[in-house]
Amino acid sequence: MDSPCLSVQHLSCSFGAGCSFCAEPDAPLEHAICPRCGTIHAVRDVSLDVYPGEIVGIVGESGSGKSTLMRCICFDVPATRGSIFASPVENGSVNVLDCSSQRKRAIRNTVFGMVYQNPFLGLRMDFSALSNIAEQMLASGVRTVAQMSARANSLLKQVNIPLRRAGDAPRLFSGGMQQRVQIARALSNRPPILLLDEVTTGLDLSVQARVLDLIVQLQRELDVSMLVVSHDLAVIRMLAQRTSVMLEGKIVEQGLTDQILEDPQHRHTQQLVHSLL
Amino acid sequence: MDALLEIQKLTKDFMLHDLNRRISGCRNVSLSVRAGEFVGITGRSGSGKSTILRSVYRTNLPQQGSILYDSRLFGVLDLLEASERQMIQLRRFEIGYISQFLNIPPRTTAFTAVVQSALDAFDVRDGGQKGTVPVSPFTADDKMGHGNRSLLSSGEPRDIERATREARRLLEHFELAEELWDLYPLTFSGGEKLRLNIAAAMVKQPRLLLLDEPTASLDRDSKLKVRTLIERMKDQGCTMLGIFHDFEFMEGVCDREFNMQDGFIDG
Repeated sequence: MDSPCLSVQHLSCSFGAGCSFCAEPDAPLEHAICPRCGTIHAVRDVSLDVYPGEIVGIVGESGSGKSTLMRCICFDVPATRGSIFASPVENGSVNVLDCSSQRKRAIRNTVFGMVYQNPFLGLRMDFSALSNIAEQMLASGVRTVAQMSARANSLLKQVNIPLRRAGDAPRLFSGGMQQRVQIARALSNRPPILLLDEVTTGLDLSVQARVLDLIVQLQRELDVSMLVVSHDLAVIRMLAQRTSVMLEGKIVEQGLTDQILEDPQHRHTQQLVHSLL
Repeated sequence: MDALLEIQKLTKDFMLHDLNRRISGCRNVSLSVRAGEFVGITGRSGSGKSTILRSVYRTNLPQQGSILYDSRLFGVLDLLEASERQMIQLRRFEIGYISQFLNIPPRTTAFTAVVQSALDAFDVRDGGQKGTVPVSPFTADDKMGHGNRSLLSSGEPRDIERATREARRLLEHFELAEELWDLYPLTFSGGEKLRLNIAAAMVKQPRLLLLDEPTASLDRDSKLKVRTLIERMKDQGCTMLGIFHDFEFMEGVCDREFNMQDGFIDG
C-alpha cells in the first residue's frame, strides 16, 4: 500500500504551564482542563494519517479541539508535543515541527493550504480579492504580475466569483463568497494538502452545495489530500471516506465514515449521530 | 481457500450506551459463498440479515467471528481485521453493495454517476499489476453523447471514452430509460433508482456483490424485472450474497438459501 501524504503522530497542544498531574496521558481532566493547574489541553495525543488524494473527516462537538488540531498542523498554533510528517517535505522523513521558522513559513505557503472557519483569519478584508490571492503567490516566490493575475483570475472563475468583483475587497462580499475567495487563495500555490476547517458552516444550502462540489472536483482533478473538519455529519458523509471523532482533545473513535455514522461504537459518537435531525 | 467468502461464527451486538441497552444483531452465524454462486438469506425484519451483509462490507463492526475473503488485491484476508485503507480499496475494486437507496453524490446525473463509478475502478484493472483485466461481457456500442462531465475526474481522454462507452452499455443492459440519463436521480422511482444502483455497481465488474433487500419497495412487476437482472448478473459470473424477505422471490434464482430467525441461521 502507498504511504501517507500527511502523518500526525502523538500531537498535543496545551495552553498553560501544566503540572505533574496533567502530564499523565490518561489523567482525568474536566472538559480538557486540568483540575489542579488549570492548563487547557486542547489536543491530547492525536495521531492520524491522510493518504494521497484522500479526504479524511474530523467530527466532534464545539470545543473538542478540532480547530486547534488544524491550526497546529499549519503552524498557526505551536504544538506542545508530537510530530508531523508531510511527504512533500523531504519525502516525509523530517518532523516539520522541528524545522526553522523560515522553513515552516515556506512549508506553510507551498505544502499546506488552510481554509479557516472564520474568513477574517484567512483573508485581508480590505485588500481586493485579487490581491489576496496575489499575496499568497508572492509568498511562495512568484514574481511576475502577468502570471499572478492570470492565475488569480482563473482561480476566481473556478470558485464562481464573477470577474467584475475581483477588484472588490472581501469585506464587501457575502459569507459564501468570502469562503470561496479563501479557497481560491489557499489553492493558488497548488498545495498538495488542504486543511478545511468548517468551510460550509453558516452558508446557505445552495452556496454550501457549490462549495462542496468544488471540493469534490478539486480532489478528483488535482488529487489533493484533505483534512476536513466539520460538525455537519452530512458534509462528512459526502466528502470523507475515513473519519475521526474528537472529544475533549482526544480522538475517541476512528473508522470508515459509514461505519462511524451507522454503527458508532463510542458513547460520544452515538450521541453525535443520534443528534441528527 | 475453497470459497470466495467464508463467514465463521459471526456475532454482532449493538451497544447503546446512553440507553444502557444491548441489541442483538446476529449470533454465531457461519456460511460460505463459492465463486459464481448466488447465496440468499431470508428471514423476517429484525432477524439479523442486514447485520451479516453490513459486517461483510464493514459498515458494522462485529464483536466475534471472522469473515475470510479471497481477494485479488491482498490474497485471503479476514475482513474484520483488514485495515480501513484495505477496505476502501476492496470496496473500490472488488466488493459492490446494492440496496434500494441511492448511493450517488448529490447533483450528479445518472449517467455521470455510472461513468465516475467506472473511472474509479479503472486504475487497478488497467494497471496490469494486480490480477487480470476482465473483458467486458457486454456488446460493443460506440454511440456517445451523454454525460455531464463537470464532476468527472481528469482521467485520460481514452479512459473517459471507455468509461462513457461502458456506462452506456450498462444503463441500456439494465434498462434505465434513456430520457433519465441526464437527470438527477433524486426524483427517480424506486425501480429506477435500483437499476441505476445496479448499473453503477456492475460497471466496476465486482467479484462479490452484496444485495441488501433490493426488492423491498417494489411492486410485483418490478420485482420480476429485478429477478431477470439478477439472472443476468449471475450469467456474467458475478458472485452474490443477497438478503430478501420474501421467499418466493428467491426461489429458482438462488443456488443456496439460508433462513434467519432471531439472529441465528435456521437448521
